[in-house]
Amino acid sequence: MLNQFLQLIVPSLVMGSQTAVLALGFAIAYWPSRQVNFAFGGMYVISAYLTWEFNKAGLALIIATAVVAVIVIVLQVSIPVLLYNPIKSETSVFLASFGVFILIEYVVEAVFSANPLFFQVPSGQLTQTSLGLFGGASQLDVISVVIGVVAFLAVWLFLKRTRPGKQVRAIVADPFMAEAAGVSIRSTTMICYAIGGVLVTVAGVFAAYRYGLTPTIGETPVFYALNATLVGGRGNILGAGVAGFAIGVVVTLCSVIIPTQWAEALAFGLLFVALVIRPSGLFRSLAWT
Amino acid sequence: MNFWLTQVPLLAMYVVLAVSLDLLAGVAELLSIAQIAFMGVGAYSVGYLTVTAHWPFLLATLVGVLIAALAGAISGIPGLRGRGFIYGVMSFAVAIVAYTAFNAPNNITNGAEGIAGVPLPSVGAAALSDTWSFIAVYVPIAVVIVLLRWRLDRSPVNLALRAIRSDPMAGAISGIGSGRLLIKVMALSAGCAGLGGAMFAGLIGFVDPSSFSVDQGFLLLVMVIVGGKGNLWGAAFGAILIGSVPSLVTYVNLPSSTAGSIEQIIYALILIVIIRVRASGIFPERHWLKRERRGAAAPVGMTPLAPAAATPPLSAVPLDPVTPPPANADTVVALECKDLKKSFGGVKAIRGVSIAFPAGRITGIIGANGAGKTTLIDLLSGVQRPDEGSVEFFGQELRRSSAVTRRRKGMGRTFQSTRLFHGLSAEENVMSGLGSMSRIGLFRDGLWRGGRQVPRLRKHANVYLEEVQLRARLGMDALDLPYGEQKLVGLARALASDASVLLLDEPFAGVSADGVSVMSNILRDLTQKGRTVILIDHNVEAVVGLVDYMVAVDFGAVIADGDPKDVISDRRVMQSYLGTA
Repeated sequence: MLNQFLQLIVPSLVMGSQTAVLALGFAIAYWPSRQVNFAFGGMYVISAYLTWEFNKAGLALIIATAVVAVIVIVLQVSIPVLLYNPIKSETSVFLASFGVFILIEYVVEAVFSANPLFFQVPSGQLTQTSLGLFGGASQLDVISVVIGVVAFLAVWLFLKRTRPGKQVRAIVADPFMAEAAGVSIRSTTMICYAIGGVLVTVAGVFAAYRYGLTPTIGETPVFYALNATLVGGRGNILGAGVAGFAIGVVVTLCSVIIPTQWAEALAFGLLFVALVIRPSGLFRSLAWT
Repeated sequence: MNFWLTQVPLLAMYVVLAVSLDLLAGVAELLSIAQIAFMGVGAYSVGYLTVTAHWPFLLATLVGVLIAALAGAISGIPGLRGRGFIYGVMSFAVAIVAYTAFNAPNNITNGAEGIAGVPLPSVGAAALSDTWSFIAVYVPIAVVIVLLRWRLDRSPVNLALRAIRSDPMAGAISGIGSGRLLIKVMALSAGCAGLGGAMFAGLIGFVDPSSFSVDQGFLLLVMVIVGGKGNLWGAAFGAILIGSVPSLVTYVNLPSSTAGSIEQIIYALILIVIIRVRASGIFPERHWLKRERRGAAAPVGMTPLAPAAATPPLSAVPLDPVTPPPANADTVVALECKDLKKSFGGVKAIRGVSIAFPAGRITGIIGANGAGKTTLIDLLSGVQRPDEGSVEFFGQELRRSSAVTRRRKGMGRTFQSTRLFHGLSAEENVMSGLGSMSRIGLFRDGLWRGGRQVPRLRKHANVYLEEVQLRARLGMDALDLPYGEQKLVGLARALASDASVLLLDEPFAGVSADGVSVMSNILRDLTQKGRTVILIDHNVEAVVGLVDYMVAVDFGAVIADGDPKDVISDRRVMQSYLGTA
C-alpha cells in the first residue's frame, strides 16, 4: 500500500501541475468577470485538435502551439464579447457557456469523429528514469511540472507587478470602486480571458501530446478547474492554482483506494463537502496580497 | 403506425420531467442539473425491482418515486447554503456522483451493461403492449402532472417561492422560512423525476447509465430555459420542442455516424440563441396577480397621495388578539434585551446594551451614523446573532430562535433599504407578509387548496395597502414605485403580519411629509390597539413628537433614555449629534 503511494508521487505531481495550470486559467477570468466560462473546456479541445492538425500538416510542434494559442486567444476574447457580456444574469452565462462547450465538443466530433487520435511522441520522451522506491519519471513528467511552476510564477508576477494585474486585483476586491478609480472592467477582463487562453492552450496541447485526443477530453479538465476556482477562495486566483494542484494530487493518490472511474465523482464530492463547510472557499480571500 | 405517433409517449415523459424541474429551476430559481440523477434513481429502482426482485411494475414505480423524492430532498439540503450558480455547481456534483454510481460495476445497476428486459408496465394482467396503450396511459400522466403544477402556480405557494427567491432574508422576516418549503419542493420535483424515470424504464425496457449522463441532465434544463423559466406552458412546450429533436434527426435519416453530433449541435444552438435573444425563454414567466389587475389599477402618471388628515380606521384590519392584553401597560415589558454584545472583526458594534421596551408604547432609538442602531434591530429581530447577552419577548428567552421563529411569535420589522421583493407587485409584497403565509404548506396550501385562499389573502392585503393609502398602486411592480412609497409598502408588509411588536428601521427616511404623517397616525393607532412599536430614525423632529420613550445610543452603548424631551436635551446626546458640549 505504502509502496503504491510512493510510486504515485510523480504521477500525482504531474496531474497536480496540469490541473493547477487549468485552474489558474479558469480563475483568472472568472473572478474579475464573474462569468462561469464552460467554453474553457471547449478551448482545451480546440487547442488540442488544431495543434494536431497543424502538426500533421508539417508545422513543428512549438510553432503549431504558438499559432493555435493566438487562435484560442481570439476565441476566448470574442465569446464573452459576443455572448456573455450582453447577458446580465450570472446563471444565464453559466448555461450559455455550457451550450458553447457542448457545441464545440460535437462540432469537433462531427469533423474528426469520436475515435481517439495521437501525436507521434518520440519514445525517448516517455522513457522512465528510475527513482528507486519513488517509481520513475520521464522527460515529459519533468516538463509538465516545470510548466506548472512557470505558469504559477507568471500569474503571480502578473497580478503582483504589472499594471493590468493590479487592476485585476482592484476589480476582484471591489468592481464599483475600481471603475470609479478609472479601471476599465471590460478591457481588463479581456486581458484575463487572453491569459486564460494561453494557459488552456499550453495545458490542452501538452495533455493531448502525451495522452492523445478525443472530443470529450475537455470535460474533466473544465470541471476540475471550476472546482478548484470555487475551493480556492473568493477572489483568490492563486488560491485556485493551489486548489487545482491539490485536486490533481488527491485524485491521483486516491486511485490506490478507489477505482479510477470514481475520480471525477470524488473531486466533485470533495467540492460538495468543501462548499458545505465553507461556502466562500477554503482559503481566506486575497490572503496573498 | 405513424412515426410521429410512436414518439408521443416519450414526449409525455419529457413533459413530466421538464414541468417538475421547472418548479425548482424556474419558480424557485434553483437551477439544477441533478433532475437526471433522480430520473435515474426512479428508472433503476423499477429496473432492479421488476427484473431481479420480480415486483409488480406499479409497486416498483411507487417505491422508485419515493426513493427519488428522498434522494432529492437529502442531496438538496446542502445546496441551500449557496443560491444561484453555486446551487447549480452542487447539483453538478450530485449528477456526476450518481452517474458514476450507476456506471460502476455492482449488482444493483449492473454497471455499464445496465438492466435489460424490464417488463412492460402492467396492472395485474393488463399490460401496455402497443403504442396506443402507451399513449393512453402516458399522456394522461403528463396531463395530471401539468394540472397539479397549474394548481400550484395559482396558489399562495407560488407567491411564497417567488418571494424567497427574490430575497431570502426579507422572506424570513415575513415569516416565510425558505428551508422547509424549498426542501419539500425539491422532494416533489425529484419524485416527479423518479416517475419520469419509471416511465422511461417501462417504455424503453432497458436501463443503462448513458441515459442519465450530465449531458442528458443538461438537456432537461435546456427544455426549461428555452421554453421559459417559471412558466408551466413554457416548460411543457420546451419539453416537446427539444424532445422532438432526436426524432427529427432520425426522421430525416442522417448518416448514423454524425446523427448524434448533429442532435447535440442543434440543442446547443437553440440554447445559445434563446439565451442571447430572448433570455426569459419563448414563454416568459407571467405573474398571475399583476396580469389580472392590469387595466384596473396601475395608473400611468403618479397621482399625489391624498392628505392624511383623517386616519382610516384600523378596525377594518383583521387583527389577531395580541399575546398579553396590556392592562397595566407601564409595567408590561414587550421586548427586553440584556447586556447585548456584537462585534464584527475588531469593530465592537454593540457593547453591552440593555433596554426594556414597554408594551403598547412607541419607543424611539436615536443615534448618529454608525452608533449601532441597525445592528441593534438586527439582533432583536434575529437577522444576526449576538455574541453575548439575551433577548426576551414577553419574558420568553429568544436567544436561539431564528428570524422566522421570531416572526411567528409575533415580531415584525421593516428594513432601512425597504428590501421589497422585486418582481412582485405592491399587492403581492403585502400579501407575502400576511400571517397565514408564514404557515404555508406545499401540499396543504399548494396542491390541495390551490388558488382558493388567494381572494381572501388579497382582500386582507388590500386593507393594509389602503391603510398606507397606496391602494391605487397595488398592481405595480413594487420596485417601480417612488422610494417613499416603497417605504410605505414595506410598512404595510410589516403591518400585515399582525405582529404584536413592530421594529422599524428608519421608516421616515426618504418619505414625504405627507407620508410621515400617514405613518405617524398608523403607528399611534397601533399602540392604542395594544401593539408595541420600536423605531429608529434620523428625523428627530418626527420621532420626538411621536414616541413615548426614547433611547439614545452612541458607539454601541446606551447614553441616555427616558422622556423624549429630556433625552434630546441631554448633554451627551447633543455632544454625540453635534460634536459640541
